[in-house]
Amino acid sequence: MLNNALYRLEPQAGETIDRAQTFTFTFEGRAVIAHPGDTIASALAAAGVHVISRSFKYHRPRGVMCMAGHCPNCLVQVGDEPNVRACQTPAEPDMVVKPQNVWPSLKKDAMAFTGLFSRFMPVGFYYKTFIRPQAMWPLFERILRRIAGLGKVNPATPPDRYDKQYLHTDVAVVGGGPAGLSAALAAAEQGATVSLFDENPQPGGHWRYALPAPDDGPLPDLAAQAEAHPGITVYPETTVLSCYEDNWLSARRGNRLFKIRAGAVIFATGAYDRPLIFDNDELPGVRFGGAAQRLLRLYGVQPGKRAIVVTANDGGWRIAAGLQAAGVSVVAVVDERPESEAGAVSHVLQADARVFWRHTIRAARGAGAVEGADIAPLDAQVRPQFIAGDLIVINIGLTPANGLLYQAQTKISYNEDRAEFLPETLPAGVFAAGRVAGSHAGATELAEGRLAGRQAAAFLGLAPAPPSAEITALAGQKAAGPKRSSARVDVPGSQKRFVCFCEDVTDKDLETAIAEGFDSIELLKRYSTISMGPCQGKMCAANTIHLCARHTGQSVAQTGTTTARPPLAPVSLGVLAGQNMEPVKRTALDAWHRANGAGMMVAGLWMRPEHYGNPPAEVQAVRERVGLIDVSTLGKLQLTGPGAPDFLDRIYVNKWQKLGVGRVRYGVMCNDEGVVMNDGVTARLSETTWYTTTTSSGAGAIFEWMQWWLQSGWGGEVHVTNISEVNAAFNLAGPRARAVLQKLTDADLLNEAFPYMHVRHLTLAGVACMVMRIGFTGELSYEIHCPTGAAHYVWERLLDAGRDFGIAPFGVEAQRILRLEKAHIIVGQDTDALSDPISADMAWAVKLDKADFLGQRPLRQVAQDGPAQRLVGFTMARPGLVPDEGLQIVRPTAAGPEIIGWVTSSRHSPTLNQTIGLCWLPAPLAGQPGATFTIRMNGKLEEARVHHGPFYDPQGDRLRI
Amino acid sequence: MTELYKQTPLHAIAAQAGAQFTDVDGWQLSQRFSAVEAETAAARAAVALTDLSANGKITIEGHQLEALTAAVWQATAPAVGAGAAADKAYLWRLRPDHLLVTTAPEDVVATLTRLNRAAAALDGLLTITDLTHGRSELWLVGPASAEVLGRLCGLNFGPAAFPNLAVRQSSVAKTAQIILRRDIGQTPAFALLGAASLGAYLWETVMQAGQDVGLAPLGRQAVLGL
Ligand code: FES
Repeated sequence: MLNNALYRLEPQAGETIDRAQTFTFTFEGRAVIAHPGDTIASALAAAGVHVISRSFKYHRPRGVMCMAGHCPNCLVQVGDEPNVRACQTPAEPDMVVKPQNVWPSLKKDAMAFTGLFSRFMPVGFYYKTFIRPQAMWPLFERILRRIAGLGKVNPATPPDRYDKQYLHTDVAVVGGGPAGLSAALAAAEQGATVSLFDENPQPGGHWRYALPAPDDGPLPDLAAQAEAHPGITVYPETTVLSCYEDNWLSARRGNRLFKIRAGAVIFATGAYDRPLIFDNDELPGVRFGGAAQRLLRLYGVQPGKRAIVVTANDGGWRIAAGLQAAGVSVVAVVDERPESEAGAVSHVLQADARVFWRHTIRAARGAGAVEGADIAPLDAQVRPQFIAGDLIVINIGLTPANGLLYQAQTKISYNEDRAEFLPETLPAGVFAAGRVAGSHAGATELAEGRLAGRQAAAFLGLAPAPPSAEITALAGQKAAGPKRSSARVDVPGSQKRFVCFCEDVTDKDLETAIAEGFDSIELLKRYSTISMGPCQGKMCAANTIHLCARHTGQSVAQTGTTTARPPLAPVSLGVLAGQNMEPVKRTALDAWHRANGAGMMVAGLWMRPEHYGNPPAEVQAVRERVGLIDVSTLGKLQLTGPGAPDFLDRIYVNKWQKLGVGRVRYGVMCNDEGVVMNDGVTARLSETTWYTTTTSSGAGAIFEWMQWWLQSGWGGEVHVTNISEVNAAFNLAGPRARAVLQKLTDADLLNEAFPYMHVRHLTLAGVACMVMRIGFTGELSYEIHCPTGAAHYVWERLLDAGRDFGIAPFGVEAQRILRLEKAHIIVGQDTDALSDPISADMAWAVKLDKADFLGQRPLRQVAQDGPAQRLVGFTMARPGLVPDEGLQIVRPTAAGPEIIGWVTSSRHSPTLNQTIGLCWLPAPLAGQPGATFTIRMNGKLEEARVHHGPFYDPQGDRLRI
Repeated sequence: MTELYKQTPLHAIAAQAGAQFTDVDGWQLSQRFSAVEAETAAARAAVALTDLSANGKITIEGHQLEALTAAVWQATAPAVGAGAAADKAYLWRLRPDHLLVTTAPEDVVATLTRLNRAAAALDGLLTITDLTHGRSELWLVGPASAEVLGRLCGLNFGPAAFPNLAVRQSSVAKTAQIILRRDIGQTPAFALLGAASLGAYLWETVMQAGQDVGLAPLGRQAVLGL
C-alpha cells in the first residue's frame, strides 16, 4: 500500500477532494489510497509516485508535467482502455492502472536502452532504415508493430455505451474561466440563450487554482451567477473538439458527443503553459507552473519538497510564494528578466531561497526523476551551477489556446511584443476573450469577456453593438498590461532536449530535418510527426515554429503556423460513432415467424423468414398442396387521378392505357438509359385508382423516382402515395389455394369469376382485403393485401382454414426455388447496372411503339442491333452439381479460358430433381436451346446446357386452374 | 370463430415488456406496463414513451385543402409547419398541398367519411389516404422529451423553435419521421410518425437513448390520466 500522506497537505480552500472518504485502486499492482475527487495522477502524486509511464520512442520515464490534459506525459492504461490521461481521469475504487510503454516494469524497462542509440535513430529513421532490403519488410513490420504504438487494446472488451446529443443555442461560450463566465453572463443578460462549455469539473478556469488562493473575489460570485442564470446552461467536463463553418461545434463529455449549432461563438479558451527547451526538459519532477498550482490548490498535494522556480514573469514569483506557504521549500527562483523589469514581486521568500536575475535553467539533473537543476546566467559564458531540488517549476509564459480559433478561420498573427500568437481578425459571429486573446490581468479578462458577450448578443440582433470607443479602450488596457510570455523558447545545451514529448522529437531532430530540406513548417510537421501525437501540438507547435524560423533565417510571422484540424483533443472512435443505430424493418408477423421456428435473414433493411427448417419440403407443399408466405415487404404505391395511365406509360416499358378495371399486369421499369430498375405488378382498382407493387428493397427509391418525374413536369392530374406499409401482403399458393381462401369468404372465386391476372376486393374473415391472382411461384396463387394491423389475425385465419389441406408457411428460400423453376427473374440478382429488358428475355414487355417513355431511345437501339448478351436458363450436365451464383462461364481458347458470361441464379430443383439456373451468355450461344457451355467451378470446367423458357409447367396451365 | 383483432407494430415489444392490453375499436392496445401512478409520475418528472400507433392518420394531397377544411371543420387549414385542433381531429400542414389529419382510433372511419364526402363536392384532384396501419406513432411525453429527441435528431426542439402544435419532417434515429408536438396539459409531448416496420426498432432505439434520464414505457391509461 502506497502512503498517500507523504505529499498530502492540510485542506486547501477550493480543493475538489472529499477527505472524509477514502478508497483504493492499484497502480502497477500496488494499492494506492485516494479520495473522491482525486484524479489518478493526484492520488499518485500524494503518494510520492512521480514516474507514471514511459515515453513512446526512447522509453524515458515520464510524469505529470501540466496536470491539465495538455501533454502526453501521464498516459496510462486503465483496465482495458489505453491512453488514459491520469491527470484528467477521476480515480475510482478498484481501478486497475498500469503504466504504458514499459516491459517488464516501469522501473526496469527492457526498451529503455533505445535512448543510448538515439543518435542512430534520428527523425525519419523508420523511413530511411527499413526501406531496404525490400524482402525484409515483413519481418521489420512485425517487429515495428510490436514495439510501436501507444497502449494495448483488448479486442474482447465489450462495447461501451455511447451517444450523441444535438444542442442549439444562441451563444456558445467555450471556456469557463473568468472571461468565459463574464461573457456568458453578459450575453444572457441581453436575452440570449447561452451554452457554456468547460473541460473542468467546475467553471472558474485558472482562478480556481491560481496561487496565492484568493480569500474571496469575483470568481465564486461569477460562477454561481452563471449556474443560477436561467438563460445559461453550463456543460462541465466537456471538451470542445472542433469548430466548423456557420458555428457548428462538436464537443465531448465522457462517452457523449455533442453537436452544437450556435448563433455566435465566444472562445475564452485560455492558454497553455509553454515549455522551455533545455537538457532533460521532461524529466519527472519538471512541472509547469499550472501543474504545481493545480496539485496544490485542487488536490491538496505538494508538487515537490524542494522547488526551483524558473520564470520570466511575476506569476512565477506568486507561485513561489504559494509553494512556500504550503510548506514547500523554495530553494531558488530563477528569473530571466533583470530585476528592474520585475513588477511587484514583493512576496517574501524564506531566507535561504536564492534569487537569480537574468538567469535561466540549463539542465534538469537526476536519475529517473529530478534531483536538481543547472542554472546559468543568460548572457555570460560561465559554467552552470547545480542547485539541488526535487521539483523544477517552469513558468516562462503561455501559449494561447487558439486551436479552435484557427479552425474557425480566424486570422492569427505573432505579436512580437507579447511573444504570443494572438487573434487579429475574427470571422463574423466569432469572438475571443481572455487569455486566448492576450488578456492576462484579471480586470481585462473580465472586461473583455463582458464585451464579447455583448458583441455576440448584438451580432444576433438582441442588443445594440458596444461603442467602438469601448473596444479601443480595452485594447489599450491590454497592451499596457503586464507581459506574460518570454520570447525565449530554448537555452543552450548538449543533451536530449525534447520539443515533442509525444513522439520524442528533439531540437536536434528538427535541425536535421530542416537541413534535409524539410524547411517549411507543414513539411517539417509531416516529416518529424511533430504536433501529430496525443498533445496535438499544444506542447510543441509554438516552439517548433520558433526553431524553424531560426534555422531558416525567417521571422516567426514568415514561418507561419501549421493547419489546426479537428479534433482538438483525442477522441475515441466510440464517441464519434455514438449510439448504435441500424434501422431494421420488421413485418407485422415478425414475432410469429420467430416463434414458429423461422430462420431469419437480412434482406435490405428487412428481416424475413428464410425458411421454417426445410426449404425443399416447403417447395413441395406449394407444388402439391398449399403454402403461405409473408410478402409484406413488397413496395406498394397508390396512383390516383385521371393522369395515372399516362404517367405509368412513361415510367414503365409496358402499355397501361387499355388495362381494364379489375385487371393486373406485370410491368418493368427502366431508367433513362434503358437499364432495368424494378419490376412488379400493377392493378387497376377503379378508373382513377391504381395499385403498383415494387420489389421489397426498391419501394422507397421507386417512390422517390416517381416523385422526381412527377415534379419534373410529368405530374399532371396524378398523385402517387407510398402505402407500402399500410397493407401487409401474403401469397397463398398451391393447387389447394382456392379451397383455402373460399373458407374465409362467400365471394365467387372460380376461374370465371376471378381469373388469373385479375384483382378483387374481398372480405376475408371479416377483414376488407385486396386480392390479386398472380403467380410468381407458378401455381394457382392469391396475393392477399390486408391492413397491416389486421395482418396477424388474417394470417392465423388463413392457416386455420388451410389446416385440412396441409398448408405450410414457406420462406424466401423456397420462394426463390419456386420462381427459378418458372425462370422468373429477380431484379438486382439476375440483372445488374447494365441489363436492359430486351437482353433480359423480357422483350415482350417493351412497347417501343408507344409515346416517349423512360429508356425508349436506348431500347430502340438494342432492338435494332440485337442484344450482345442474353439472360437464359441452364441445366447442368453432371447431376447433383450446383454452381455458386456469380461463377464465371468460360470458353477454352489457345490463350487460356475466355470469360463469356456468368451465373446469376442456381438451385437444385426438388420438383424436377435437377440443377437449374439463369445465366448471361453471348446472344448467339444463348439463342440455341440445348447448346453446351462450361462453368468454371473450383478450377474445373463443368458442362451446362442452354434452356429456354420455364423449367416447370412451361405453358402455365397450373396458374390458370 | 376468433373475433377480429388489430395489433400495432409495437405489440410484440409491449407484450415482452409486460404490458396489459385493452381493446379499443378492435385494437389491442397496451393499457399499462406497471402501476399507473408510477407511469404518470415518470412522465411528469422526466420522460416516458408510449405507443399510440392506433391513432388515425389520414393524409390529404391536393390544392383544395382550404376548401376541404372549411367544408369539413368550418376551419382554415393551419400554416405549413403548424397544427390546429379541429372537431375530433388535429390538422397538420406538411406542405401547401399536403395535410395530415390525426384522430383517435375510434374516429378514423367517421373522419374519412366526412372527408370523402366533402372532397366529392369539390373540383380538382384530392387524394385522401388512410395511413393509420402503415405508420407507427410513438409519443415521448415529459419535460425531458426534447432532450431525448436531441440525441436522435438534429432539429432544434426548444420551445421557441418547436412550439406546441408544430410539425416537422426529419430523420430520427436514421429513419424518416413526421414529428408533431402536442403537449398534454403543461407536459411537453412529441409524437413520431414513421414506417410501421421500423416502429419496433425506433422504440428500442429511443428507449436506449433515454436510459440515463429514466425513460420508461407508458400505458394508455396513464396517458389518459395526464
Ligand atoms: S500531465 Fe496529464 S496531460 Fe499533462
